[in-house]
Parts: sequence; C-alpha cells; structure tokens
Amino acid sequence: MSLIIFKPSGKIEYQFNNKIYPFNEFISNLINKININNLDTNFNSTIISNKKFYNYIKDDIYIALYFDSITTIDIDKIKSTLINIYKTYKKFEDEPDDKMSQMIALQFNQLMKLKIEKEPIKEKKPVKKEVIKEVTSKKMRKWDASGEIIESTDQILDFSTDKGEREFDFKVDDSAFTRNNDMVLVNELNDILNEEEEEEEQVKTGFFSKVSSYFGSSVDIDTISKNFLDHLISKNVTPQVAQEIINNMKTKLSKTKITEKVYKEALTNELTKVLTPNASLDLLQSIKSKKEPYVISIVGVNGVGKSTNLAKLAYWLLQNNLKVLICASDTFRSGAVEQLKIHVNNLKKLNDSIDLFQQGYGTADFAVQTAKNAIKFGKEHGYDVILVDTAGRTHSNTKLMAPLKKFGDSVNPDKIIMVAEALAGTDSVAQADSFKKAFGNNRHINYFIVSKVDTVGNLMGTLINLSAATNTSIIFIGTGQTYTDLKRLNIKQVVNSILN
Amino acid sequence: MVDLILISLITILLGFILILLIYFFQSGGINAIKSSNKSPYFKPSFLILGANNSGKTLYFYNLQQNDININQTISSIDPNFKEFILPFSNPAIGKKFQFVDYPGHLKYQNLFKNLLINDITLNNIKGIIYMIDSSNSNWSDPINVENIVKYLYNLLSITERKPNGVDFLFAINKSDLFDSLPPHKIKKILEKELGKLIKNEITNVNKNSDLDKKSDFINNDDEDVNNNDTLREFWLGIIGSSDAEFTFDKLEGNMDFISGSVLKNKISQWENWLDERVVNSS
Repeated sequence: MSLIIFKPSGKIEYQFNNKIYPFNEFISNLINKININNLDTNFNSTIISNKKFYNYIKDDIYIALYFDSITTIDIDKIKSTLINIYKTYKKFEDEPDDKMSQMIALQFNQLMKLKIEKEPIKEKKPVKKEVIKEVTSKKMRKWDASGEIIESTDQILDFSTDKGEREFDFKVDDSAFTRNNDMVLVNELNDILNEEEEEEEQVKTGFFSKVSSYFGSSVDIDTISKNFLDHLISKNVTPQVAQEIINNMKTKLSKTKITEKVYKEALTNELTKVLTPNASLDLLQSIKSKKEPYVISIVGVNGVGKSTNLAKLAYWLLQNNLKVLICASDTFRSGAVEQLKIHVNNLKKLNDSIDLFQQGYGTADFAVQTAKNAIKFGKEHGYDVILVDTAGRTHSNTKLMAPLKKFGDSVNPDKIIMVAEALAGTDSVAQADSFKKAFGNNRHINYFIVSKVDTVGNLMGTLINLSAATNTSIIFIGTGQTYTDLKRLNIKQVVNSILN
Repeated sequence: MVDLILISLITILLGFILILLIYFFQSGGINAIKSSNKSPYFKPSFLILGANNSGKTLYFYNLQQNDININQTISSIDPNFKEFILPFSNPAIGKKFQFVDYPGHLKYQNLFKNLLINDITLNNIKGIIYMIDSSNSNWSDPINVENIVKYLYNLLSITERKPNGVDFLFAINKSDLFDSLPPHKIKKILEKELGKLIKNEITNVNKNSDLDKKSDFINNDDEDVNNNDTLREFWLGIIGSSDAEFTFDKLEGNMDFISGSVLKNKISQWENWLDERVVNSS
C-alpha cells in the first residue's frame, strides 16, 4: 500500500514510500476513464489488478492511495482522511518539510491501522503482536478520541467539562506524550484540521455582474457551467454524460470566476479528448499482420444498419485488395441472408474477391455453428478477412443478449464492432453499455461505427455519449446510402458543430 | 426648431456608437484584437516527446537546475511548459527557449497536434527530443513498440513537411539498466518498423477508395496535414520509389541517436545537442 500527493505536471509532492509504480497505471486509467467509479465530486476509486485505488482531487492537487488487497474500510473514513491530508498539505504547501511528511504519514498509518484491526487476523502470530505493540505505544485509544474530535467539536467540550478521574487520565496521557514525539504532532495536526476553512470570496450576483458579463468580463463559473450544460443537452448529449463533462471542467478549472471564451476553449479541449481514440484505429495494418483470416463481427440493435455498414466495410476492404468472406450469422430474421446476398452480388461486380458464406436459418446455436464453419472455410480458402453479421437484438432483452457471450467465446473474433445510430440520442448510452457487458469480462467491443450521421445535422451528441460512456473509439461513421458513404471521424468538426 | 432636430440627430448618432461599442466589448474587446492570432505558446520551442514512462518529465525537471533533487515522477496528466536560456554552456549570450514536456497518452494526440500546428507552429520548433526507454523489457512488448513507432510516424508526417525538416534527438534513456539496448540497435528496429508503416501507407491506399480521400462532409480538415492521399505521396517522395527501403538518412531533419540516463544524470551529451541547435540556428 502506498500514498502519494502529486500534481498534473507529473511532479510528486509527497510519497509515503517508494512504491509509486502502480500509480502510473492508475493515472492511465484516469485519463482513459476506464473503470473509474466516481464516488463523489473530486473523489473516485478503481481496482487495478487487485489493488484498490482511491483518489481525491482538488485545485490541481491529486492525493491517491492504494491498498494491496480489497479492504473493508469505510469509504467515508478514507475520504475524510484524504481530505485531512489535503488540508495538511495545503498548510505546508509553500515550504514542505519533515513535519509535513510526518503528519501525513501519521494520518495514513491511522487509516492502515483501521484496516489491520478490522481484518480477521489470519497471519502468523508475531505479526499480530507487533501490531498490538505499535497500537499501545502510540496510544491508539487516545487518538481514537481525538479522531472523533475532528468530526464533531461538541465532543471535545464534553470531555473538558468532565471532572475528576477523567481529567486525571488526561494528565497521565499528557506526560506520556511529551516523551512521544507523535503526540505533539497529533496535537498540531488537530489544530490544522480544526481551523475554519476560509470562505471563498463571495461572488457578486445581480444586475451589475450581469452587465459586466455582457461586456465580456468574468462570470461566475456555476452560471456558465449551467449554460453549457443546457447547450450540450440540446445537442443530444445525454444529461448524465453532459453533467460528468461539466463536472470535470469544474475540477479542472478550479476557479470561481471565468470568462466565457476561456471556458469554451477548455470545453473544446475536453470534448476533443473524449473523442480521441485511446487505441490504434489502423484496422488494415492489423488485418495484414495476421496470417490467418481476420475475424470481425458486427453487433447492434435492430435496424441500426448492421448489414448495410458491413457491406460498406466490405467495399472498403475490397478497395484495399483484401479477400473478403461475409458470413451470414443472422440466422433469425427472415430475409437477412438474402439481403447480404444482394450486397455481395453488387460488390462482386466491382471486385471478384468477395464471397458469401451461408447455411440458412436456425436458432442462436446454429448462428454460432455457421460462424465457426465460415472461419474454417475461410482458413481453407485463404481469405484475409471474415465479416460476421449477427442478428440484431434489443439491448434490454436479456434473453436475446445472453447468446452474445457464447458467440464471443466460441467464435472468438479478433475485433467486435458495434453499429450504433446517431439518431438514438439518450438511449445510446444504455445500448452501448449493455452490449459492452454482454461479452463478459475478457472481451469487449473494440470499435463503434456510428450510422446515420447524415440525418442528425449538428445534433452530434450521440458521438460524445458513446465515447464518453464506454471509452470505445469510433472507427467510422456512416453518412449515406451508398457503399462509399463510410467516413473517418473528423473530431475537430464534430466538436465545432456541437459547441456552435 | 433647428436645435430639436440637431439634438435628435445627435441622440441617434450616440445610440449608434453605443451599439457599436457594446458589440465590440461583447466580441472580446481589446483582448480579441491583441491576441487574435497569437497563442501564448507561440515561441521558439523544443519539444520533449515520447511514449509513457520514457522519462520525459524527469528530464524536464532536470533541466531546471534548482529542482535537481527530484528523482521520481509520475505519469503527467497535463503538459509542462517552461522557458530556459540556451546554450547551457554559455548562458551569457543565450536566448530564451520554450520547452514543452507533453504526456504520451494516446487520448492527447489530437490536442497535441493542435498545439503543435496552431499554437506553437512548425516554424517555431527548433528541435524535438524523442525520449525512448531503452530497456529490453520495454522493447520486447509489441504493444509498447507499436506505441513508440506510431507516435514517431505521426510526428514525422507533420515535421517533415517543414522545409529542411525538424531535427530530432532520439534520447535513448535508461542506459544505466542492465538490459538496456544500444542506440544503433534501437535505430535499426525503428527503421524497420517505420518502414513497415510507410510501406502500408504507400501500397494500401487505393486511389479509388473514397474513405481515405477528402470529402466535403466530414473528412475535410483545415490543414492538409491529415489528408491520407497526400500523405501517401508525401512518404513516397521521402523514400524515393515504392520498393525502396526507409532509412533515417532519407529524412530532411537530422536524426541523432544518443544514449544517456536522466536518473544517473548522464545527460551532458543531450545538452550539447541542444546547444548545437541553438548555436547553429542563430
């Protein structure tokens, strides 16, 4: 377990020990927003390879800690400790010295002790002994009391007005403290933590500030956040996603007043970041570097354009001189195979190296069987790519979603592409989420193709929804009815059309 | 009577001026005129780039003499900017240069490209320090190698468009590790892998493919830098013909591979390289 305080620049302000390497992985998750649980504003957690990370962010200062195992410590306790550490750090920010390190270490150790005490002790006895020793030498009981003091000042009064024996107890303890350097620290620490937080300057509201904002000066960040939140939602961004983006902005800017221009610039950067892929989009290179047929399966809700986009994809692959096999694994909907047959026949006129593999209609198991046979066939006949079409399914129907896991496990495609329509708007997050989960823990959707982008004008919020909520990159967008209407995403243009 | 007309005319005029003034302030006021096309980062710059965990930030802090005791950093979330006076060997005759330490996360690639092209601009780039973790454990992981090569490939696609190119220092960092690869070996690997990507670019893109061509709807970037069709011609122009092999000598900018170690403070050769750039350009 370890604790660090760092700045976004990469500078470490404090480290509890030198086990900082795991934090790199945590930061990369934080940036790519993978598996991050937002427990509260400025406070989040995640689990990476059995390490539980907690992170508190305020004013460009990150305080992160991890436990080597999943613990049962109360989250509120962790949060309050992190906040207290933040306060301690703030106090010494200008001239960090040994005292600060000691105080922070003390707080961190207190938290660790909670963990040790709560855990049923299974380890060897010596360890247990040591723990107890430590506790007694540091007057754990006393600290507990002062620990409560931090939270409610009422209790401290109760104690001081107590008479007799209790006061005596206090004195004995005191004499022990002078010997123990720690207790001096504890007292000082309490002073810091009990200090009233300075109220941030009141933002003037009312007529005058409105007039000045009209002339391009700084405005209250809450007002401006609200405006942009509404704006994002009006562009079809799901309220939750919009709220999350706006919250991120608030933590990032950490100012109370700001001009609209600066805010907009920051938001442009944020949205660009959201849309930027976190994985390589070079599908052709991946296909070429694999000797055996590269299997891509296409999934999605009914009617979003799976087969159409599959055909467009096939057209693009043909243009790049690859031999393509299309597998009709939609063995459920009547006419699905025939639809693909028409596409293949059309494409055959342009380029002969495309074929259809089909075995008719049947149940979900039959679809898996068809795909398996197609892969076998593809291997034997030297195809470069196998595109597997699947049956459309409603994301809320678990009976239909369940076979997807089996499909993923037994067919084992190299890439899974989900087709989502730009029209879906708010529902797109739920769709993408349930499809993402449907394949189990080991497999996930690799890319999105967003179809029907030409129909939504500048209401491109769905693109943001998909990227922000699932962290999956958009590889292509569908922009029309013909085979050539498959485009790469121009992030700059999408961001501009959303913000203007 | 005349006065009344005059007064009303003046009132209208004043009102008109007021409207103009409001419009002026609303559209950003004096600031808008001042900073219309100059970003705060528009300065002669050196960039410190590279994949994650290659040692960029640590090197950046080592450049700052007063922060010499920092020996551990964590993955940066935000880029670092700071001006230093070069050449190090003779600060008295020196000028200020902006150093940028940009995080290697893939998520930041688009923002970085914006910064490079629109804010700093290519002409202001005096040199790029491309940090590389030379440890074998780094190079034996194909994903890491792909990250290093792809990043470099995208970077070169931009910088080589500048006449005479941009000079690169491949800072082969972590040479103190026991499994560190020597610079010439890393150069070989990079040449081979870059060659593969370039070959792909040249042979793959069929001219008929609309997907990789400019289109008015969505793939129309303001700069031609992004355009795939010209990218293909661009790389073809660099390596000569479609069967030619790629080598670093074919690039316009000077490519130097120098090993060193930030942690062990073996960076004097890199400093010399920086000094050379500054002295040569002035």
